[in-house]
Amino acid sequence: MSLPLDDLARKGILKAGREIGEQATPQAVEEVASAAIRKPPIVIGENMERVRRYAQKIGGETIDDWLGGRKWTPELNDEFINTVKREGREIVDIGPDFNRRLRYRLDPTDPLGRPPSIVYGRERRQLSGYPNYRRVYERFWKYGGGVPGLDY
Amino acid sequence: MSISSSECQEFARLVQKHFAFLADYGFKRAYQYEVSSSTFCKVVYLGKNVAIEIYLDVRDNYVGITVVKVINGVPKDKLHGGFHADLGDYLKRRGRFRKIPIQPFESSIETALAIWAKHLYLEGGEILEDTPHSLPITDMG
Repeated sequence: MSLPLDDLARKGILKAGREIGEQATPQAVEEVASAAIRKPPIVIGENMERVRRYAQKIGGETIDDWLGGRKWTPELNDEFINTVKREGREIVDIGPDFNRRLRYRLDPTDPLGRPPSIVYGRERRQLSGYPNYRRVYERFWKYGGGVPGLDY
Repeated sequence: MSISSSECQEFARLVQKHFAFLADYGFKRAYQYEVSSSTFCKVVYLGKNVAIEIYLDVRDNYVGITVVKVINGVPKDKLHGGFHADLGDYLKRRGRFRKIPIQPFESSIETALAIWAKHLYLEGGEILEDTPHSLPITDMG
């Protein structure tokens, strides 16, 4: 018997599956959906410290789990996002690291600040329109916000 | 930028160099909580009530510090009934985060470590005291 949450997740994943492969048989899409439901969600966001901490809390996985010890490169980062999309995995976005962005905004020469991450920005673009994407952060203004319980 | 475990070891060596003063306050390296992964290196100093976690986010070449509440000898963040905060944000909320000029090192990572170390040493007195009240149980609000 499916739980209501499973049903909701299944619907989202089925939609993702259809968009990924319109020519796939319903049975194949269903298999992808079932597999995706069994796998933990993927957590993305700016600053791996935040990403790891949040993933640990919700039982999610990060790019480190997918890399499995391989050296990180921007190309592998792209491949990671494409792979989890293809699998129909739920992707949880914890958003920007507003602290370091604000430090950069106040003083672009501050070594403790950072402009918006190119890597994270690219991930967001890759995920544009992806139906099994879930945003869990709030933005109060351009340089303020975060995930309740994690950032404030 | 990509990284190997030996590069995390090099990061840990630089952390040790700039944060050696933590030993004077009773903080000890807690290797069991440290991380060396493809995208992330973390060095942890554990006190009785406070843990200081110094990390490198490899993908953005960013160095940061998180201060975490220690409960019964274990670091517990806000997600697990304790408290954690970005050091800069924590000090800023207390009006103690000022720009600290420093002679840059050859490596931007080392420069960031040197600045963070100065912030902690000069402005983080109550954190270094490592008392049960050094960090709140819940968020500062």
